[in-house]
Amino acid sequence: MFDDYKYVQLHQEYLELQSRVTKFSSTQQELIKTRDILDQELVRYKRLNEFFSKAIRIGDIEVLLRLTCEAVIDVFELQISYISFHKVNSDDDEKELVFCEGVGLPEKKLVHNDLEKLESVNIYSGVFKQFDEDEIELYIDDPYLSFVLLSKRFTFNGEFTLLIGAAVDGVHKESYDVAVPTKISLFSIFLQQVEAIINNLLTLTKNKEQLLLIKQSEVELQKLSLIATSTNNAVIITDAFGRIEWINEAFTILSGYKIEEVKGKKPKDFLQINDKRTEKAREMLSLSLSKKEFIEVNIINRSKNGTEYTITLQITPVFDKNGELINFIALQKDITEELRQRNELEKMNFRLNEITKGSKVGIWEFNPEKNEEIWNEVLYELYEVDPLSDLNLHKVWRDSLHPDDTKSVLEGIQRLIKGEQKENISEYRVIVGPEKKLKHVRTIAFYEVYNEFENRILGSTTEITETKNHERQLMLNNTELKKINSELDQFVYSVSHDLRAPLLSVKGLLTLIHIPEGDVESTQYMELIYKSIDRLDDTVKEILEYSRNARKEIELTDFDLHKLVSDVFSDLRHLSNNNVSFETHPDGPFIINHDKKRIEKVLYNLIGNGLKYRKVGVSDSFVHVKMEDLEDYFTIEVVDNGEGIATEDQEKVFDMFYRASVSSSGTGLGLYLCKELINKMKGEIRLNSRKGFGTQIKVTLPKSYSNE
Amino acid sequence: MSKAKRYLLVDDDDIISILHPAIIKRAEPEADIEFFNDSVLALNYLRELRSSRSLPPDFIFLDINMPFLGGFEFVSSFLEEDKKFLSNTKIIILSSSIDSKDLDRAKTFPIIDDFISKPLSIDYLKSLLKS
Repeated sequence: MFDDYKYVQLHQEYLELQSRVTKFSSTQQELIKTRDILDQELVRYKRLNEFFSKAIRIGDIEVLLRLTCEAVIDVFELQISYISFHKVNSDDDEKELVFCEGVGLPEKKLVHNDLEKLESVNIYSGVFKQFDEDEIELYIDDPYLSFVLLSKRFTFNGEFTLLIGAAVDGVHKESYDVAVPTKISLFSIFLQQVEAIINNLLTLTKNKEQLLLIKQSEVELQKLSLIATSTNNAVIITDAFGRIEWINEAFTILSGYKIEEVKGKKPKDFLQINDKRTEKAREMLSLSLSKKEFIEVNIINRSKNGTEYTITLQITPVFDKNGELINFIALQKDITEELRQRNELEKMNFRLNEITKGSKVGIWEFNPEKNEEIWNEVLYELYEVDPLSDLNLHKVWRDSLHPDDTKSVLEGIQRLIKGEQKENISEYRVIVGPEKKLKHVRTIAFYEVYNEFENRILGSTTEITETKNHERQLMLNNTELKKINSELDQFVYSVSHDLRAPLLSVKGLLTLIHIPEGDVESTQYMELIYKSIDRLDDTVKEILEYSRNARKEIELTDFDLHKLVSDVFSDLRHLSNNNVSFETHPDGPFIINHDKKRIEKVLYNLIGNGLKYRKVGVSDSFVHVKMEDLEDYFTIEVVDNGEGIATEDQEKVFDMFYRASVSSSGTGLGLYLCKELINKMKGEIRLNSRKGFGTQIKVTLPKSYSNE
Repeated sequence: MSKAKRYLLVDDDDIISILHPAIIKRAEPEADIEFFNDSVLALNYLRELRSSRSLPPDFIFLDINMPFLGGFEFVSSFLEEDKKFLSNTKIIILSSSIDSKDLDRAKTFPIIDDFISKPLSIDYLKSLLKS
């Protein structure tokens, strides 16, 4: 028997158990649900973790932002994500980075960061609405796309603004709502992390940029110092206060100072000369330096050893990125030599001007391309042009040319312009001034390459009117002289003929006179008449020779001097009644190139004298002729042992009509004629004699005659 | 002396017209002498001799300086007409000139035998006759 109580108790227990089971299973369900949520959270954390570990290694802001944008969707299971990153206070669109991911947002450009604008502009049937400073919510008026936005704005150093937003579409709104609390807290963490990462990246990027800048400026500095070191110009670098920091080697060479001697000093305190000469330059310098401007000025410095030198000083202020003056760079070019040369040149130019003015040399320069010409003062005077008039001088010159000379003169200039000739010398006539004066000028013109584009014709012009007139007069005189000369020649010839003809007739007539034998007196008179006639004839002949010698030019021919000497002797031997022995040295052919006729006449006289003035009453009389060939000269020596000439007479024997001897019938013209003949041949005659012992006469003649 | 020589003398000097024939006569008394003081006439005389086929003179003595026709012009004029007629005649230039130009010019005429200075001398004539 079952006890009812027991049944009831059992049933009670069953019911309790059943309710427990129900309770348990609901708890179990709760547990499962919680576990699922936790699982989801875990996955999200894992994804988040993955993202961070990736993001932290990214060095590029653009890549980082793109990844962030994707992560918003991935990690938070949202459907729309956008990020905008832009530089504050910049209108430049390029500086803005915008990324969008997700469904339904057609163009990333539609999402704008400019909140002021976006508030009032409909975008894709939705609007941005700003909640407060940092959060905005995007409403999209679409049944399928109604969602909540998570959004946050950050600023970095006041330079950049970052706007991150995310949204869920209408379909998923429910599940989003469920997860919202955890998601929001997680999203906040996410945003904080992203901010930190971006901050980190920005700092890193900035550091990198600065490093690069430093590197670049280091290279620049290296280059600069290389230039400063290798230049011949002295370089000083000072700090902002003008104290020397660095100098190059050229400065040391120029000034004598080494870096350790000048470092920290100001150049104006020890380098520059402080006197009247540099007063103005120093004023300009200090003015520019106080204004921190570039300046170039010429100034005088004094080197360590006291030498003064002039420089062109260029000072350039150097500013840093923020416009702060940090350095001055001073470049010093030594122009002492340049200045000296310029001074010298100016001085020379001045002198040249004075000289050309003084010597009346006209100087001109013609520019063929522009058809322009410039003159010096002398030319204005020469062409009688007012220096103040603005005439085209080249035209003035052209118009002044004498019609007969124009063609040849212009052709000469053309040849220079074409480069066919480097120099052209011409003489021509010009007609100048209101009185149409005719002037002769002489021009020397040069072609000069003026620069790579232009050529010039330079020239000097002098007036030679007077010279020309003299020349013409000289030519006239010369022609007349030649005429007179030839007339004189004819005259002398006729006179000699007319003088000699009757003389010779008398001589002939005398031979016809018969003198009876034994008429000693008449015979003696007759001999005296012969002698007188011969002397008169000799005189006429010698005067004739003299006049011909003066007028006739030297005629050179090859001949045998030895033969000539021998011929002359045999022609004259009757003078000595064959009582004189004759010798020549050398005794053989002696060929020379000379004026045979003049030498012949000299020999006639010298040998003739030797024979005529032999000693009376001796049997060993001689005449020796010695010929000698020297390098530039040859000599003829005539030696005799005749009467000799007294020392007091020796100087005079070469004078006209002087006779040293009374013993013979000389004309007194013989030796004078010899001297004249030898002078004409540019030779010399020397006499050496002793009364009672003999005479030696030496003739020296040059072998050749330069053209005169 | 087999036969008297024939002389032609041309000189414009009147004294010479007496002097030179006299000297020639001293050297050769039989000499046949023709004297002309006008060279043109003398030239005509030579032409006549030639055309009449007479013998040419043995000697011609010529002065250089004569009006119209000088000694050299006289020789060259006749040579232009006949080169052979005078080939056996001795032609001698007599001059009072000492200008060597005259001597040089004489040398350019092969037919001129000698160039001597005035006056004629008996000795010279005698040596001429001997040769």
